[in-house]
Amino acid sequence: MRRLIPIILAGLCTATAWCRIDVSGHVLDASDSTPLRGATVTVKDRQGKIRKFAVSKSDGSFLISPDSVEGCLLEVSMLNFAKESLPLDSIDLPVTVALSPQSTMLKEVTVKAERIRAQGDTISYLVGSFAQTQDRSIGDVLARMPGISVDKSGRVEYQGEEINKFYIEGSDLLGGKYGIATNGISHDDVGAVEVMEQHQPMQVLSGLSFSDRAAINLKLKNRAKATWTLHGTAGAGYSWQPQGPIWDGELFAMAVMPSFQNISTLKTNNRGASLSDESLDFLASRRGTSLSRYLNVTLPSVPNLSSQRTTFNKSLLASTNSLWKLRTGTLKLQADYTYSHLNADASSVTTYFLPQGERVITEQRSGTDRSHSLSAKSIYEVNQKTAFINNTLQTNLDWDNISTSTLGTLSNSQNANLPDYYIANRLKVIKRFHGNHLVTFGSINEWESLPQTLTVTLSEGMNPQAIRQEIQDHAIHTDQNAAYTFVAGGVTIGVEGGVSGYLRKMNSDLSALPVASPSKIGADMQNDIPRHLQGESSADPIDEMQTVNVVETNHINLYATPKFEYRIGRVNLTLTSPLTVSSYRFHQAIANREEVYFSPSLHINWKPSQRCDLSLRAHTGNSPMSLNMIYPGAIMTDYRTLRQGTDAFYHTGSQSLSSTLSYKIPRIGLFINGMGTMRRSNTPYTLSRTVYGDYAIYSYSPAKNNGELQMARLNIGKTLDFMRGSSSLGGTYTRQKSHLISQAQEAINISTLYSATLSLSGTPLPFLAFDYKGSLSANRMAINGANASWLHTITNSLLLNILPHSSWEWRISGEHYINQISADTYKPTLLLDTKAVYKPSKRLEVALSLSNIFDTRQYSYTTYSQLASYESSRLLRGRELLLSVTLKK
Amino acid sequence: MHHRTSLPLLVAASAILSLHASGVADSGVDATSKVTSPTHRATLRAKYEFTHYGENSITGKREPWQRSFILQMSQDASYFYDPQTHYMDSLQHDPQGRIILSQAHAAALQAFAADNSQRPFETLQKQGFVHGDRYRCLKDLTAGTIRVWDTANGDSYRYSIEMADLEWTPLDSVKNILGYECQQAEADYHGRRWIAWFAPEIPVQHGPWQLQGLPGLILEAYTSDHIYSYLLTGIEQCDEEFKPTYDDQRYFDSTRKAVMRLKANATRNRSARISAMTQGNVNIASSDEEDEVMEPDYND
Repeated sequence: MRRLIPIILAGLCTATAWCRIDVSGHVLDASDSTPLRGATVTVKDRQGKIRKFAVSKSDGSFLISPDSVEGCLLEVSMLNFAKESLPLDSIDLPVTVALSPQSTMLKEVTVKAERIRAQGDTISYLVGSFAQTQDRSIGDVLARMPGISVDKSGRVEYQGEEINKFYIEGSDLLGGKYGIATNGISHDDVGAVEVMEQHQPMQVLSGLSFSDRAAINLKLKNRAKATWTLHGTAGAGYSWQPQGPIWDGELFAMAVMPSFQNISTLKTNNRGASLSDESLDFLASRRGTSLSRYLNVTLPSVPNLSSQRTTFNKSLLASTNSLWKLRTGTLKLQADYTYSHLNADASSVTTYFLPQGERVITEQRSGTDRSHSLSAKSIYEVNQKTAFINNTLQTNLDWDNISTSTLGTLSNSQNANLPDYYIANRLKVIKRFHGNHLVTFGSINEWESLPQTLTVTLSEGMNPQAIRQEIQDHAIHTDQNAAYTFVAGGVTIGVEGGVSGYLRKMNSDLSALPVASPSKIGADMQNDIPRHLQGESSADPIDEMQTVNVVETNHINLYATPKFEYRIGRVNLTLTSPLTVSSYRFHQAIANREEVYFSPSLHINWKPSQRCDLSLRAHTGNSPMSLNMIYPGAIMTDYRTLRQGTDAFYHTGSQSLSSTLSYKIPRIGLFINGMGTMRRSNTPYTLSRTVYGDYAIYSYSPAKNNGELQMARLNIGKTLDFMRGSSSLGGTYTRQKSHLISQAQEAINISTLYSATLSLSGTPLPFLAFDYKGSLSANRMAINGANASWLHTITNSLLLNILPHSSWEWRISGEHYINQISADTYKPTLLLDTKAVYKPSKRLEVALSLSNIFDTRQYSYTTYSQLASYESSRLLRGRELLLSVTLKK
Repeated sequence: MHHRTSLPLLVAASAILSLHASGVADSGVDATSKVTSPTHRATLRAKYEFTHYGENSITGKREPWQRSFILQMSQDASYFYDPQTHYMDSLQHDPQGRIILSQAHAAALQAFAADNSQRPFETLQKQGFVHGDRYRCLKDLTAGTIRVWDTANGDSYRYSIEMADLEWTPLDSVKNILGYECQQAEADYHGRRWIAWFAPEIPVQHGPWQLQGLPGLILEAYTSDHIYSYLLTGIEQCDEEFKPTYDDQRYFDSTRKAVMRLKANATRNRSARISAMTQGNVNIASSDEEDEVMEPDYND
């Protein structure tokens, strides 16, 4: 009887199906029949809604009492097991549900913290939402953020304007050498990139002086703060051209602590990545010593492809930078060393179709550039609301040796030694009194020495001729100034006054003048044939040239710069009008003289809303010519060029007008900026070129020269949220007019350049990320109104990153170039690479890459004219196989 | 004028900071013994945004106050904490971390001494050297209990709650949260009505704060008056240990209701204090002190 009751009850319940019923059972692991605790057991109605639920106990048992079972489903689910669904009205109770193990793949989501957020003048970009799987450094991600652009050398711009500070957690550790950070810091360690618009880095000037530049601040993730972050990569492999082993290694260490910061890095490779750009100081102030090299010895030019394809190098970079926050200020010490060894080769074959038969001229050029560069800087800075002190002591020592050899019409070898030694100390002290009075003192002292030596060995005929050009160039510059500024209402009025002195001495000596080569071919040539083949003979103008220079270009300046700033509402107006009185002492070179220079400039900024910003700048004035141009004797700047300076003193006048516009809606990730500039310059002298035999002689003629430059640029950046991507579209236009006197004839050159670029990147599918960049540019040169044809360059590059599994990546990338060499000659080039990456953990990454899969080793093309053909050939980096291991701490 | 005000301010600031940094100083002897090692391994990690529309004691207006919490989950247990608080605790329990913290405090004080508009707390907050919310809890589904660590009136307390206090009723509404279809459920819990949205697709019985026991992860939950809310902002699979807890022995054992009563008293006292300090000029508009504690059933 006892047994019967439940059976009868159960029967009744199933028959009526509307009375409340107890659904009980067990959940087991199908693989070993052990009971499963914690499984979710639900009863779902016809609409799929959960009506009742329970959780399995430690013995796997469960009990649910739904109101009804008709049409209902019993579902049992648990993490890492396959879900089981049973129709409740057709199962026997108690039920045993066996779950089979199955890994649960959840849709992982991270939200929707807005990718770009604006808060007052600060725009904050969420790094994780812009980084693509193929990115490594924060620089890779910065380039994807709309509004921010990173140029080839690593210079960072925001809305078309260069940034004025690069902070890491609010501290300016690297100054202008932020390339060390953008190329070194892993984007994984950065939470957000903040752009502070109209950033005034000197607190003492806040509210008193307007800044139109933005600063960037990296906000690190907590785990990268207050500890040392380390990562390193070591790679080795084999290259088919240059044949031999290749390497690529990097060590990077960073500490960001409340009172101490350090970034140290060591990099080396021979894979085409020149490292010298990475330690460039983008914010370096102009050297007051104003020396520039006379010698111009260069390696053969490389084709217009990405530099990684055409650079044959061995490079090393070591850099260490520390910052200590002291009681009142900060102390920074920086030291950098770079070494670079570059090789370049070029060959060309010119065939002249002459009545006597073909004449073939082969030229083979090769060169090596070895440079060492050592720099050190120590900076002490106090940056408070009432006081600012900055003292910077720096030294830059560079050694550069370039040697080239040319085999062909003018066989020769050149060897140039180009060291550069520079030491400077800059001090600036600003004190703010009573809230609106400022007193500033500044002192700059600089010394530079720029010796240059060139040895040219001409192996013309049987007797090699050696020519040696030696130059000694030293300068000392000192500038002491003081300024007083006060604010009343919205008006800031200031005047800066100072005295600067300049001592410079240049000696040069050319051992011998080259002898022009004699005629080689008969006189019945066409214009197509170069002069040295035509054998024109005339009196040697070269023979009359001086070969020695002893020049002193000393001067003392007294200057005053009144400055007026006016703020009314959202408009900021700045007027500066520097007035300089200079006294020049040239000793024997040219007559001494006294001069006055005035060059006012006006800047108006209008910010009608948070989104929009308009600026207008105008400048006019006169300035002295570059004193480097004063030298009466000849200087041989390379094996076929002689230059002669002026023996007179000139002024240069210039006017410029530029306007910029920027517009942004951070919420939807839209950033637009545009710029238009016009610049005119007029000089009373013109560069003149005379071709004499194999040589070109440059000198200055007293003829009026008006130069003009027009430039326009537009950039649009937009996030593409649907695929976690971003896009940018840009266009530029440049037109430049210059004068040259060539063979005693005036030549007006007008060069016009258009370019358009498009870049797109994103992760459209969970297993696919891509990067696309395309650019089109066209340029044309017109000489005296005769237009040459437009020359186009089209570049497309695409990278696909396939993610078959969370720890695997496979990248395929290709670059396609169409370079137009002449009116009807196009040179297409396709280069393909691939890379497989295995990331077994967040700390370890192993990659195998094969670049230039088809092993394209030459970049050659031939152009034809009526009577000649010209064939040019350059080397490319061949196929490369590289295995690399990256470790992170 | 500046000197007169900055000295007392500096003294006060150092005193407050040294109190704040007391965890730094007194944990110098043997830090490791104060860390309670975790006993669970998480396979899921979720991030929640907590919002409390609290009354601004001066203006009387309700303003949102937000914090992020992490929920680490295994099949049987979950640990809910504020990652900022965990970061600070872990710094204080590491010799290197203590050096960093004391340097940060010293730097903040120096900055304040040099320029008294740079308030030390603001400086530290900007640098991320301030504790977040001190509330954390460990839910043990096997035992059916929730272990809570919290502070009230400056003291640290710990207590246990029975999970059985919370009984959900599934409702009909569905909505999509972050790509997951969620069903609504409601429950009366410790003096407030809670509405939760759970995702049956994620078959765990966890949720933010003390909320749990639904047949799927709770992605969103709020009180019927929307004063308190939790919203999922991210979820990922993982394989990591539950975060360790620090200084467990420094906590007083108590009960939930006692701690809630303390919290409510603290709020009331604060209102009275402000009223007294301003000679009654500022009277806090708060009419409903119950709003100031999350579980107002302490008198029941």
